[in-house]
Amino acid sequence: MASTLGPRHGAASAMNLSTPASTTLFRRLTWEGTVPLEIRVDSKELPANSNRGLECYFIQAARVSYLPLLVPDIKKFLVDVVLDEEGAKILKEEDWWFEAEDGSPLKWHWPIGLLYDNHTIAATIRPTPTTDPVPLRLVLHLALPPADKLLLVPSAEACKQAFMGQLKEADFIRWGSTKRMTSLRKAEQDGIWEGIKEHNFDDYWRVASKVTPTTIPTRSQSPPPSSGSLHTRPPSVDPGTTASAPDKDGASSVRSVPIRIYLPDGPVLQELAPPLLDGERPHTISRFLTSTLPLLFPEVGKQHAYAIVQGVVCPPEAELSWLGACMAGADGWVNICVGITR
Amino acid sequence: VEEDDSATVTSTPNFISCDQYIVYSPSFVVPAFYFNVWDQQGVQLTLVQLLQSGMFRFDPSAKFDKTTFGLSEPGSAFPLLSQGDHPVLGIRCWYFHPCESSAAVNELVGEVTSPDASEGDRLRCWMKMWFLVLGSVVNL
Repeated sequence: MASTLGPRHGAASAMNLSTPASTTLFRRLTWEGTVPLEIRVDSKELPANSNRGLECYFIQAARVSYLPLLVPDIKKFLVDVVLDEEGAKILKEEDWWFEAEDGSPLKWHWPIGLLYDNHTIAATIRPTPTTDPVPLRLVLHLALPPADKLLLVPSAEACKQAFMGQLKEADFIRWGSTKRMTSLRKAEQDGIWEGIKEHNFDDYWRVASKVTPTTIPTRSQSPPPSSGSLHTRPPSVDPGTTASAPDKDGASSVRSVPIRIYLPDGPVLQELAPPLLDGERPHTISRFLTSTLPLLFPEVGKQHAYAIVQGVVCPPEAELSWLGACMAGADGWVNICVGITR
Repeated sequence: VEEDDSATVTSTPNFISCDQYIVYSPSFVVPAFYFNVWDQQGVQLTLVQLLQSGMFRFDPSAKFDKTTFGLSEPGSAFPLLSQGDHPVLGIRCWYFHPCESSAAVNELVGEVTSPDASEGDRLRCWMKMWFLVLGSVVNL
């Protein structure tokens, strides 16, 4: 958890040395976030002699993880608690698929936290919304995946490819090339995924810090998000750099922050999200949502919706560059889920 | 009636139905080609069946890394052909990764347009060249 203001040596090492404590704190909070899942096996598919009534698996799952990575634990639970020996022998994970609450096949390849936040905002447009957090209820089917739809094979390998694709896409959005990702050694690229699989913060960030922009440390170490911006820091503060050296790898230097907006029953939106407006003022989530969804987030007057990032209602003055550096998912994307206010 | 898995894998359907989409990729700022293909029973084709279907014109000598969920050229950053969320419909489709096509199209546009062509002409030419590049891989 370094918070030094040392001189810049080179791009990669600078990112490792100068991550402020507040950035690391929020990254760790995001990493440790969990959500409740209730996974019920379709009882019609339970083999004979199963322990019926016990086929519900509860887990507090990591937001940054993926459903295919939970499969080994679910399988163990089924074998130990629910199925008899014969039933366990015929289990075929490659035929497993998850059904969402609305009956559609669940998107395995979305991070668990995103699935949960979407479930939260979907509830905001139901006739009788609740504000209490409820588990995300999923039905696990052991067989007969729908043959007319393309389902991501629930293998860790397919999940990894999808994850790496998202990381590279985020890299491209930030810098216009995937150089930072592709210049990682294969062992490092594999290491990022291993960090997710083993849920190890240090292993993940050891590599991710080479490609994820960080915020600029300021003289004050207190963590209000807006103190992390380039523009509020007078040029003479940082003794280790020249007064006018721009932070070329920093969160405010990206072309665009990788952001997607999710609506309760609408498409997924993706818009250009530059970190600075007119090259100077930090772009905030409030301005971004007003320009993208002006009817829900009017410039003046009552806001008809609110934004959730990593399960937290986002204050309107939060800066996009800070969100990109501190509260993105493990795949590099800031997922803004929009809930409708009543 | 459920198809027996092994029969589905080895047979090539006689009749296929294909939905094709050209969608703007906001990340790569270029059009991308998305598609889904079903056999006469309404079952999605596997990657092996797709490659045998005659829909594509891959160089037979090209070496690909193949899985059930994608096709990659060794050493390239993104898979050539893989599965992804349709940017507008949200359904899962096969798609050709757009960042590969962009370089090829830009090169062709550079060859064919004059430096003082209008922006409108350049963009029309860009789309023509994009279809050309797509058509070199897909039987449109």
